[in-house]
Amino acid sequence: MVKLKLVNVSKKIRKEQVLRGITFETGDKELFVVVGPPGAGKTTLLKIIAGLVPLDEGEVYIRDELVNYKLPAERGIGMVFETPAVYPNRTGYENIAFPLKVKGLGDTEIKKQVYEVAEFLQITHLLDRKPHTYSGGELQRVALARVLVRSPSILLLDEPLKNLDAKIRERMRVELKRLQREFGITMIFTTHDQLEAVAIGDRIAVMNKGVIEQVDVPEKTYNFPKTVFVGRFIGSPSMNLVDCTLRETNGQWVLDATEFAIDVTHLKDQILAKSTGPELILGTRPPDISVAEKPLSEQSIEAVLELTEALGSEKIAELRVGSVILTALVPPTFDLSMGEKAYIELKREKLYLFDKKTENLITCGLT
Amino acid sequence: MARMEQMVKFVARYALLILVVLWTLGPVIWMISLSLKPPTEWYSPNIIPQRPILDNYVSLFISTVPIGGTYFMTSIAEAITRPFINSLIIASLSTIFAVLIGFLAAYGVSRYRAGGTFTIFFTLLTRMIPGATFVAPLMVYYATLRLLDTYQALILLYTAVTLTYSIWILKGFIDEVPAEWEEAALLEGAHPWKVVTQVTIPLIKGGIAASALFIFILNWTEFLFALVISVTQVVTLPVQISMYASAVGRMYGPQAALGLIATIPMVIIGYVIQKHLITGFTFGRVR
Amino acid sequence: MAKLVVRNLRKLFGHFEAVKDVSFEVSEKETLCLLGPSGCGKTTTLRMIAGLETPTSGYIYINDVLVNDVSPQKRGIGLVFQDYAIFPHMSVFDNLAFGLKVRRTPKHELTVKVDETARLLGLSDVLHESAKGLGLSEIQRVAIGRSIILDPKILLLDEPLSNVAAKVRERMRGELKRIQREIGIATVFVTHDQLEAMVLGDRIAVMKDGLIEQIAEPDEVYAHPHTLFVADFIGSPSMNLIECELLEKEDRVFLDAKDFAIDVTEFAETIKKKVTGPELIMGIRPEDLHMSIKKIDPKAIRGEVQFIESLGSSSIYHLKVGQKPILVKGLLEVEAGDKVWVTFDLKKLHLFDKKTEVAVW
Repeated sequence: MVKLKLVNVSKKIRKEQVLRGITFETGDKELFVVVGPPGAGKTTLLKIIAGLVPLDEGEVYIRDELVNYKLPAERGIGMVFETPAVYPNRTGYENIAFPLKVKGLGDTEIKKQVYEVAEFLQITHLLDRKPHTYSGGELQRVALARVLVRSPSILLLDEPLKNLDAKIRERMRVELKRLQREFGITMIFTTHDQLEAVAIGDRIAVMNKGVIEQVDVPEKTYNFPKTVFVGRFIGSPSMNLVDCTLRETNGQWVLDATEFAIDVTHLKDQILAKSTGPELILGTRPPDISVAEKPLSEQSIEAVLELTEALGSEKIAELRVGSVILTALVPPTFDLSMGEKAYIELKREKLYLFDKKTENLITCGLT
Repeated sequence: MARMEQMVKFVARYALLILVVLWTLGPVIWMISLSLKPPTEWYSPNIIPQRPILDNYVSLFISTVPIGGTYFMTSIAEAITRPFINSLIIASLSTIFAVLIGFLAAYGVSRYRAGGTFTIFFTLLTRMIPGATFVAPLMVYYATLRLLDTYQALILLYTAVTLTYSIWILKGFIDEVPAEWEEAALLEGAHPWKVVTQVTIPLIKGGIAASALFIFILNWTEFLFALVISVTQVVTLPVQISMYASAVGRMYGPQAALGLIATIPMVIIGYVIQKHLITGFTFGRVR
Repeated sequence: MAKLVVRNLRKLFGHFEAVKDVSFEVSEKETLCLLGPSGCGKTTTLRMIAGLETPTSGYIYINDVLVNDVSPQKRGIGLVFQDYAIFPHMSVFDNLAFGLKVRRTPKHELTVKVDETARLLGLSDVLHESAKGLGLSEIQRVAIGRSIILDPKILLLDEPLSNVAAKVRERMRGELKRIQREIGIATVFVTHDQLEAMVLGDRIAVMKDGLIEQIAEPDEVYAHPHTLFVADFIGSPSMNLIECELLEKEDRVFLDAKDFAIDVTEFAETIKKKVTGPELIMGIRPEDLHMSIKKIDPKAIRGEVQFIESLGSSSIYHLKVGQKPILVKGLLEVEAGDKVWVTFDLKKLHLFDKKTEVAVW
């Protein structure tokens, strides 16, 4: 049973096209993540789904029912905002009880339900206290409790982990997933952090400048990005992108990237069919670049080591090949010094080719 | 040498503070002293009266008490209760209206950007025009409408004038409440009115109190328009006080006494709502 | 002699001891990172160095001069705030020149300095553009430029990358590192993000509750955390921490974690010397655990996959070994519900005394 469906939703705010042709569906009990850089339109999208902001064009269906004209309260949606809606002048209990009071439930019933949710989220100790004593994570949980107490069928969260410390964010995202599974609820949340999205999302929608570029399971957005934006946005460290030109000499077709060239004669039909011109972009992910002190094969490209960043369990190496800088992921034992010469190998089956004008994927894997 | 520098800074700081306090409270101290002095000392420079009397105060309430043993024109004394009540009615009602209407307007401006970006600024601009410039036309206006010397006239005027401040101050406070907190309540089924009364207003209680106090003081102490628009019925305290130094005679003693008494309501209100003033300003949002 | 010396700093806010006893030194060209969760005292320490807060006790020396009573402007420090604090209505040039203008630097000298700084930070192209239209990374560079143009002896940065979206943070991190290398001023910066600290810091001071738990180079802090807190805080995902007991059975010494046990007879002597009791906490990083579908190592332990976080090139596997949740980082074709075999790399095992929380191995 499909829970949420958006068809061609568009929205303009003060002359700016904030959303354009948004279309997607979520499954039942799915953790759906909308990810994109700040300003992509994620918050506006959520507010339109919730009914807090009217849309210009398109339809929103909840459980196959058109809800465009329904009030927010009638849509059966719960929403957790970026600044948790926890009122500082009320205790934890009063905050969580608020929606139930609005509904008009009796005091004993309210008490029962509040305690139920509080126990589930392990925040019973916060009920008597006022919010200014809470930590960031606790505040989020009270905000969540307040939403869950109404048993919504769809839960919307707007950048729920943004204001938390890095370490806490790591833990909370797993908590969110656990909650979503245990509660069996369809959850849609937005974030600018692709790692978060990819780590816990069942499916993710990558948004950029008001448009959804790809909706897929995380692995597919990583392994088969549809556009340059998705390729660069998903995956950390970011995918390396190099401009290249398709050239033909005596029946041999090569991708000329100035500093190096790749033979693609066997793929020429595929490339010609999908490209709009000879200007292309080659993409390769840092983990798929191997770096060595000596050339490993005749495909090895000469480079100069510019910088290394130690990340604990691995290292990032930035190598200069002519005018281009490539980032590679190397094992922690890598110990070449800056300025030294190195040789890099690109994994052919993990190379991506994009059309420069349309920025769409032409092919992935150049073997 | 750093110690010496610190000493000098310390002394300078406190010297400056004392100067400012004296400058601000000076007139008040003089008023207190005047209100306790007999007529013979009204023109003397000493702060502490040589023969302190309470007659100045008494004469405000009882019309035939001689002040300091000599008879003065005491018929003015009867007028104390009337002006006091007038001021109370006019100032209170104007403040209530200004805050009420102001809140609604401020909400519209804050949440819905009512009037666009220019309107709110424009309304502030109108406050820059000195009252004296439109006192005369206003008087003609009211005279034509036969509203001179009526409560309505002053209440209307005061409300209109202080509305700008009310909107400006309250908008600031409403801005501080994240719109998302109201949206959450909306989502939960609360009627927009309920959202405002149960969520927004409780959160800015302090702001409303501060705004009300500020406007009340403005209304209570307003002189120019009260002087022009009131004749006999609607005379407010400031006007009454001014009448003590008129062509009829200069009764500085009772004037000072009445002036002091006039400040009492404001002090009381300020005291009563001070808790709200403080809690209102510290919102308590987690970092 | 070190550029910045901080000794026994203490700060009380009313009854709250924000900073208890902090001491460290920063040499020229070195970058020290104060790392810790919210409320650990790192920002307060930075502010004391800047002169924005007066220490309750303790000493701060900049270039061998005691600066406790010196006002912030006279200390010779450059401070970059969390939200960069640049003037949006002025051009980049004017922003950079501001400090020099205030000091009435002659125009010729001013222009030279601004050009130099702009070149250093890669801002030469946007020098005459309004600061309003700049991207975040450029704004950050302008903020840094403004603070270094006055030739400070020490550069202080307050959470330089926390306001930035994740993707942009990556790029800005690399840029910051490059700028740091080129400028070569003693730098102290504050962050709650351990990844940032690992990348940007020459040394990291891990703080908790107003105290420094460990101060060492990133590799050292990663490989040899002194306390439980440091072990847990550094590394993403966090180190697995499992309670266990030191047990002797039939001439062999084990770490008994109820659901499994590890033979540590070879190291038993060293361990026994440092512990206060048999209750220990063992720590092993998710990336130091190996998983396989078939049992290859006789010492391998059985676990069930609960849930997988895929990160692109690798994944975090949430396993349950008996009752204990364990995280493993790697890449294996399994699904939730599958059973796998887990091996511990003993060389990478950490042991902490349960009571003192100090590393014993």
